[in-house]
Amino acid sequence: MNIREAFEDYYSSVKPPQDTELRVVIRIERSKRKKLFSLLLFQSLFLFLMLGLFLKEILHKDEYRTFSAGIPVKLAKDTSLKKVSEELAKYGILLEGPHEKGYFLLKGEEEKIKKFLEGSENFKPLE
Amino acid sequence: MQEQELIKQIARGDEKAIRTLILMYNSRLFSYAYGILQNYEDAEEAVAETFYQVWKSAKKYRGESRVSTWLFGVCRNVIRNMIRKNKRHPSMLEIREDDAVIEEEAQPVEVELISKAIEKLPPIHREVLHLAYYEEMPYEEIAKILDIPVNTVKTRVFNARKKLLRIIEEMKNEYKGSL
Repeated sequence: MNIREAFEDYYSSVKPPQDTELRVVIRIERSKRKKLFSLLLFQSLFLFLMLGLFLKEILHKDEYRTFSAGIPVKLAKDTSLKKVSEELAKYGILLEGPHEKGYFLLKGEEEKIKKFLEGSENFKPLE
Repeated sequence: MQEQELIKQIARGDEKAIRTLILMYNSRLFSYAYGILQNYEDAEEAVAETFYQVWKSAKKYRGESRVSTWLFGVCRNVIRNMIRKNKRHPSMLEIREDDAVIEEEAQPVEVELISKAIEKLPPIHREVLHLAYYEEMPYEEIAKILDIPVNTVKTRVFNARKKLLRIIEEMKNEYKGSL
């Protein structure tokens, strides 16, 4: 019993499809498009989130004040600005102000400002 | 070019490589799919889906088995999923094997008659005969494709041949009766 020949005879009337390549390429392209669409969706969401954060930062400036922007402080009464400036110069800290609402900004290295504020009676940090 | 190198190229996203693989295996996989599904459109769909799955999962191919074994395995999974979804074909997984082994008779039978008998075989038997006789694969390789032990492959081939002979006998008797 020659089964192989019988199989050849069985398949002889059925010609293999000629468009397999095209069908596969179409599927590949479709999957690429899907991936691209998901990526675009993800990017849009990310952009939306970033935009939201950016807007929040603009609307709530005080919450997002970075350290390099300076530490807001209040000057104690009867303090000589000249004397204080000299004191600050020793620490390499800059005094900026007065700003609206009467506060000043101390600018410089974080550690130095903290150390300075701990020992100073002329400045009070704003909460 | 070596087939394994071709799969590596496909894994890297080389479309030319998948086209080459299609040229090499389109006919063989189509015959296999058609042998089980017995429907041209479904077999066409199964083969296209097989190559697409190969494109998607080429990175997972570790080279532990031959490329042909892996491809037939992927094709089998695709066919199985199609059968599950469509429910149009008898599930080859539901068919149970009869493990009883009896002596078979060896008679010279015409090719055309065997061919017609093959058409009447259940998919599970047609599949194993296709791999063993048409693809001339060793039992070990068939076992990997079908994901069953080698001994089960042997039993399945034996039972498929037995069933084929029974169908041929029935066809002969029908022919005699009609005369």
